[in-house]
Amino acid sequence: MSSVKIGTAPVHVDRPSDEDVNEPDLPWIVIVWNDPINLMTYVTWVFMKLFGYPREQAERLMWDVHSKGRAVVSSGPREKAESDVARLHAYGLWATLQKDV
Amino acid sequence: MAGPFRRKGGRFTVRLGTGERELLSELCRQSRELLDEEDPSSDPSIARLFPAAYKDDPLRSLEFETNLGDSPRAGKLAAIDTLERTVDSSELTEEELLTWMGAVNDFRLLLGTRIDIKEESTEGDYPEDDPNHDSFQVYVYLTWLEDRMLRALGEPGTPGSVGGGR
Repeated sequence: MSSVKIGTAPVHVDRPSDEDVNEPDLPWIVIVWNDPINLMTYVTWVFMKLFGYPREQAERLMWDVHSKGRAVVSSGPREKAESDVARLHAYGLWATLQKDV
Repeated sequence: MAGPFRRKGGRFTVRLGTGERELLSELCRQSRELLDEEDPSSDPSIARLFPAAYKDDPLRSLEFETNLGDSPRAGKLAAIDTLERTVDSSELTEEELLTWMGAVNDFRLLLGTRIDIKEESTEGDYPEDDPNHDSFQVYVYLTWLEDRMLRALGEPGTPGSVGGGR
């Protein structure tokens, strides 16, 4: 185990294609994207911890992320959505924000 | 069955072997070095720790990053410092265990990105002659460790940020 290196070899990171919308007046939504590393139990835990969601709701969102590739986890004004994204990033989740469709 | 982390009153007892603690120390050192020397544009695993906030909108993403300044990186470095400082402890506060879990999850993201972990990755993808064999073993260990942390912590308390007050 001692020979482990978190080295500098390039690694390809897949990013799903987008559907961007730029209309005014719409609320902003926060999307969490599926990734192969974060544990399902951890993602559920983060949703409960960050948003105070009950376990059932957090698990449903986690399953959406896992099976559909993404889930909308919160929404609101841009400032709030940006703050949620920053907090999700701090927990290592892959989150983005965009205008609601 | 006694796991490595057990709630005892408001604290958690930690039962890890010397080798495990040394490994965590080493991962602290390497991750700090990576965070100090690389940035998202130079290293995909660092990019995984700091994803773009706006998909396919580099300008807004840059604005978001500029507004946050160094705080995301500083937060991750602070978690690494806490883990390193308390790595030999036999007891942790809940706050410290939460910080440990954040750091361990970051190690998994860095390492998992580095060795190109996929949803369906198994031990067979990293045979003994594979250069990433040892890294995968560590990744599996960290996965187990994080799962044990989650079990010990149980349901999260009041909403907050990583290392934030309760």
